[in-house]
Amino acid sequence: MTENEGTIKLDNLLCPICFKNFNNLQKLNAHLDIDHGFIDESVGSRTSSLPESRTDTRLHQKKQIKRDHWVKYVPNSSLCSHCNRLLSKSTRPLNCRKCGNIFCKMHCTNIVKLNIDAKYDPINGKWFHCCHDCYTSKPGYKDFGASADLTDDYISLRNSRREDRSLQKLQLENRLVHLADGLIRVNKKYKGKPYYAFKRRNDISDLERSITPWKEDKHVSRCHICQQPFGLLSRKHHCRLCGSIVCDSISRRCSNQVLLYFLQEVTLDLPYQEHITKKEQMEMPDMSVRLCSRCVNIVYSSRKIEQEKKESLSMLLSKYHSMSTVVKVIEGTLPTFEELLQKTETTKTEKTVPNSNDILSLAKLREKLLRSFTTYTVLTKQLLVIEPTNRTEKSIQDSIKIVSAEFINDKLLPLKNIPAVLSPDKYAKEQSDIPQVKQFSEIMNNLSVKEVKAYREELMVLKEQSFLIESMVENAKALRKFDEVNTLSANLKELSLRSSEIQKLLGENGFE
Amino acid sequence: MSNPITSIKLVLLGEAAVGKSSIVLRFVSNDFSENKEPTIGAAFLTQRVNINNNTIKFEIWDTAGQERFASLAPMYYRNAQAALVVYDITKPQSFIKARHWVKELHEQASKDIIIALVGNKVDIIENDESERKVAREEGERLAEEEGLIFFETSAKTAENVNDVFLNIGEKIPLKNDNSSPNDTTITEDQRINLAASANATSEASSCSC
Repeated sequence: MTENEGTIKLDNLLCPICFKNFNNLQKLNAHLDIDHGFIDESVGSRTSSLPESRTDTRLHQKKQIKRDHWVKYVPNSSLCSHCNRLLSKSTRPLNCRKCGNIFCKMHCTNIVKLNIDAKYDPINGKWFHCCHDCYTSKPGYKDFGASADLTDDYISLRNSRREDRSLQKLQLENRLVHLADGLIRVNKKYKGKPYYAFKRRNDISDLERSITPWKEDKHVSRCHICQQPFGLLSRKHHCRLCGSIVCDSISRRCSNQVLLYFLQEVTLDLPYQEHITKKEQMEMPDMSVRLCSRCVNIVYSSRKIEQEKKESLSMLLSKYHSMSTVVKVIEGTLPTFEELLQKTETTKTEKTVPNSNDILSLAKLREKLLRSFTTYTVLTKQLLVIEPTNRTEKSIQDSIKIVSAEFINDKLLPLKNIPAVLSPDKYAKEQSDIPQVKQFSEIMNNLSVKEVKAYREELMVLKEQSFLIESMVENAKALRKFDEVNTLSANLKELSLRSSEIQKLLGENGFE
Repeated sequence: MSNPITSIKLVLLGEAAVGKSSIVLRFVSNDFSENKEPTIGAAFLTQRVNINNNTIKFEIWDTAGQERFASLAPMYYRNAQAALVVYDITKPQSFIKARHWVKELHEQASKDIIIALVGNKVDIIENDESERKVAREEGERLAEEEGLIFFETSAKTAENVNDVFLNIGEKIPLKNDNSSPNDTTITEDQRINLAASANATSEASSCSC
């Protein structure tokens, strides 16, 4: 820093925080230290006693800041206006240059710019000591520094960058059109004249150099893209569109020979005058353009990606997409279901009646989940039936098969628990567990889907009712109404009989 | 000794929100609540009534009107001695449903079941007769055709509610002393039926735990 002071004279120094202008580094440093609180102990003494201020005071020695408003220091009786400490020579009494009150040195450490009338003057003033109050009450004081809105600058910068890019792209595309047209014309000219091969080569070379100025070989020692040095094995190549020199590494793909046919096929939107057919391309495999990877990206790849996006998905992919939406539904529903299940189970252990609304929504959720699982398995089956067109598809199919099997194993487990909650006794639970496990196996059912649904609904209602009756029995017992208990338990028996009947029906046939 | 307790199994049927539970509440605890929650499944209540020196115990099964609980209804009306088919006189749809219930009861329930057709919510039309959507004559005609007891009631004002049940109670054939004692009938001299109640508790406890 000391070097800079002496040697470099900078006219325009901006504070990085508040963007104030300073004419030298020292002032900027002082400003940073004082106004933004960068003072640290080691350099504090140096910054506070700036040599700059010394020279300035020498210059303005005649015009001293006014002192008539100062409070006079009286030994053994003056007190610091801030801490009320008795001031002595050892505590270095100091007058605030702004308000004139007297302070101990500790409480007069801030520095503000004042003019000779002791008024705030941030532009032409000089640095003077002042008390904390005068410091914080100066105009424009902010506790947390200044802020500046740079959004517009950023936007304009970004826009200009984007414009540059689109211009560059346009330029490259124009060059490509000229190059391709020229190449095809040259080819037509020498078609069927094998003896002019050398001349043809020359013409092409001239054409290529006319499109864009090639960079001089001797100035370049490293590949423009991968920065690897050129040598005997890695030769220099020119990109035909931007003219930069790149290597021909196969692994890094810094440059490539792109066949003209493919180039034109992808960039059909460009105004080509000549077109090369696939047949012609097959006959003349040397009709190609060397492009560096950047130009390939700008001209070719972005278009290729757009085109592939527009193409419809293959059967495999579309099936997989619908599968993943089903997965999303299942994964979204499962947590709520489990939560509700937990809730109902705890109420069950506490011997209270679960909220009937809870049971209702539990049943609904479960049905929704089961339905989703069924669609999932159906989709998986459909997907596995699709004949794979190549090896990649085959491997994709295999992994989807594994993943879906795992998914069902993982997620179906909590669903098995639900009958334990809904069933009144163990017998029914055991009964209902069996169809739960079976439901996804390929059992041909004698019942129609509608019937199964109706039965399942009835089962749900029955179990709900059993719950209610159970609680009624408890109530009646508590109230010692034993004749009611008789009737109710008779009904309970009837209910469980009917529910086991239905479960038998469903159990033999499996759920849908 | 001369007046045995007869218990009657009675079931309430009808569309949702016609006031089945309200009628029962009025009959059992002489109470009414404006915003009743819909019944879930079927509720069970009892009430004793004295008719002509006979004590009749009503065991009332108040079924839920919502369609999804329809499958429960047969279980309760199958061996019921009496049924209350309720409709809302301000809702024609409920009367159509009531017709269906009557038909179903005749087909499925026991032959000698006593059915009462009840048009509820008379209190609504007290001030404004135009609110009535099901004519009294319509109900009467249906009752006559099918041989039903017919009443128009209001659970809110308690109008005719007790009469319905009393009327049913009168029509039930009384159990005599001579008739063989039934499970559901407990005679007065069997008052000290500790055995029965002990039996009941043991049975219940073995079932639930």
